[in-house]
Amino acid sequence: MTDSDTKTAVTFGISALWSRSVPAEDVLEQLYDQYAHSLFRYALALTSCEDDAEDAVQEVFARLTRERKRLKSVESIKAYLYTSVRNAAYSILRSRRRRDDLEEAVVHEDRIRCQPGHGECEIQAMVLREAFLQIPLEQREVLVLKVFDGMTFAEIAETIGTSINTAASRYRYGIERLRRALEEDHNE
Amino acid sequence: MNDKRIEEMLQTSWTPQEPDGMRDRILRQTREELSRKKNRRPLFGVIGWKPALVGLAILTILVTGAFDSMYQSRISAMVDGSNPGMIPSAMCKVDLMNRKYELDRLLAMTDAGYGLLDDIEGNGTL
Repeated sequence: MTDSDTKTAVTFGISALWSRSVPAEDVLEQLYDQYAHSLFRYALALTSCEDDAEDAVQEVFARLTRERKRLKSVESIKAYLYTSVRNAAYSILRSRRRRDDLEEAVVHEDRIRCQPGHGECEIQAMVLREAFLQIPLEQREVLVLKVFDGMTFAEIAETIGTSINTAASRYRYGIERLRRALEEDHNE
Repeated sequence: MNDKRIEEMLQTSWTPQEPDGMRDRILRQTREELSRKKNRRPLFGVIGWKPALVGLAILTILVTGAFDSMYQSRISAMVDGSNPGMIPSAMCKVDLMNRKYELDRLLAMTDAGYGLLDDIEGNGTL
């Protein structure tokens, strides 16, 4: 598969991906390399568990494979993938609640491998990381999509199914919590 | 501390990595799923359960219609055969009367008339 094929697929929507001239395996591989890291990070922010995040990403690609003919009407691959991984992650969270494992959903940092920050005070980075993993789920997912994936509030609103104002206010509350955590640590 | 600075710090402090082998696991599963779909043979020339279901529904309707038609014709035949209504009864009566008149006419043409029968019954010989 050439770069132009991928660009064509990304530019003209998901229906272009399933043309007979491009093998489905190549398309899926290309999609994986392009989006899997971001999808995994988003799923991890929602589930707080590596295994569950991987399951969510796996479910997204399984759905892509199973229902690829039904995806011809999808306009934006990126929006589709993020919404799918969100649905999969929330589904996992719901089943986890059903298993009465909600207590385990509290973030255990040792379950999430993180690389230490470079050029930052390590303690400050740790405080920020802890604060980030403890803010409410709704705010955390908006922060991930805005800070890590560079989405606009309109794109975030479309992905999580809320209004732009709601997405913006969740971002604001999330940032405020992080700022407070850093200030408290600084004052101590 | 402004928002931009917090965002930058967050980007460097939380950098999760995919588990080892995740790429292989997911792509292997998608490849397996794709090959399963390719190898799926059509049953009696029908691919997928929806066309099969539609065919079954049509067949059911046809068979039901045929049975219903047979049942109705059988019922009507039974009703025609056993109906003690006025028309068949009247037709029978007319027929019997016609036969009686014919018999009378024929007997009137013989010499003995009705007596012939009496002789036969009385003597046992002609």
